[in-house]
Amino acid sequence: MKAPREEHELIQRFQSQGCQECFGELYRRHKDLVYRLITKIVLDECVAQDLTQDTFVKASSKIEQFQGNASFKTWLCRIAVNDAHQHLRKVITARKHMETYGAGAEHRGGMASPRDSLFWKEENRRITEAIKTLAPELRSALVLTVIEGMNPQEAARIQGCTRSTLYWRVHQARKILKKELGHA
Amino acid sequence: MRKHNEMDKDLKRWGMRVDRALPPMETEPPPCPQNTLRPAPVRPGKAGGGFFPHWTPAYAWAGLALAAGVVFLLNKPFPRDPDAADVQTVEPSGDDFTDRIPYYREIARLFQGHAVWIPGDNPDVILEIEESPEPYRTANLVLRVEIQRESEDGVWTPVWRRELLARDSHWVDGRSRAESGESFSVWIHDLAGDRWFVESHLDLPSLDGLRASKQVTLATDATNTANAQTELGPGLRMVHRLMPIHPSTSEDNA
Repeated sequence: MKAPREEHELIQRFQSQGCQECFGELYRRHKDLVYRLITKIVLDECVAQDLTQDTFVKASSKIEQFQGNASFKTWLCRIAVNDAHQHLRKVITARKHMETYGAGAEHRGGMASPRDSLFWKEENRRITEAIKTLAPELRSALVLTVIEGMNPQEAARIQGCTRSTLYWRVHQARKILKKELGHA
Repeated sequence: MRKHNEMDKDLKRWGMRVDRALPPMETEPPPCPQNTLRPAPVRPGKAGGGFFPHWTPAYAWAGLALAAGVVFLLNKPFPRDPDAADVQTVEPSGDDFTDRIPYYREIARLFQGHAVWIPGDNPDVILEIEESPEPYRTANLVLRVEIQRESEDGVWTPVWRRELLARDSHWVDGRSRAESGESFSVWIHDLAGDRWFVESHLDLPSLDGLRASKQVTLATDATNTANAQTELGPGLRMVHRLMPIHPSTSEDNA
């Protein structure tokens, strides 16, 4: 069966018939966006690849819950951002645990990838270090709006918060980054 | 503003460099968990089935039952189970919070909403005046944010606490104790139906460098207080208590 071209048809056919080709097409259309987004939140391209796959697995298993109130892209990004937050919280908890028990010196908070990761190349290092200091919610608010250029309404939907909360998060993130980057 | 834009430009350039350097993503989708897909027939009389091809009255009743269950659970005192859900209601640990409410009301009335009052650890008391007060928006709630630690015998004890007067859509930036390097900020938003959204960010060098960012939704109960706790890790939790106040009522002027 050939996959339809319209996105709502792909979703509908995947929801009602479990059409694998439709899911494959949805994956091909959105994978790069999800991958880029997660990468900039978790600051680790290897972890981002895994989380992107996880996002699509979750999306496929929860597709019945997609009601079309928001766009599929927004819904998908929300799953992705939640996954990224969850990952960061685990990393932060693990880091605290390691610091408590004396193994923190070897651990780069929030970063599990090797030093040759694209984030640690000379031209990226300064900003990567600064973004790394942000709490998960502040980090993703900044990535969604300032870096990825999404409009506040969509970013708030992805974050599952009100627009005023989103503005506050971006404000906070900017304030911290200004201090870290010496812009203040 | 100019510096703001410069930083945004730096961030965008960083984003573009990252995008360009990213290794390609798998072109094939991950395998779908087939057992979770339950193909259902499209409902008659509805071309294409819309986004609810599986919607039946049974689902509606199941949803209502689930919602009723959640409401019931939210109104129960919290179980002391470390594996329980992240956000739960919490049984008030004593009357010290509600006992202080009349005092806060009086402070709110005296300062007409121009103050954020943050008492320090006993016996210190710190009174902070807002840098940019909004004169026509009076403080209408008292919020307590507390960090509790569990002792070996399972008793939870407060190890850090701040209380503040605030109002809806209020961002409180509490950096009163510069010498300790403590950073504390809270965002409070009034949701409909006596519910409040609170987001707290703490950076407490004095507590083993504890840094925590938590969001909770609180609902006031019959006693007009709202309580919630979130786990921060083994033996550590953050507790929020909130009570709406009405400083301009006759009760306060009596």
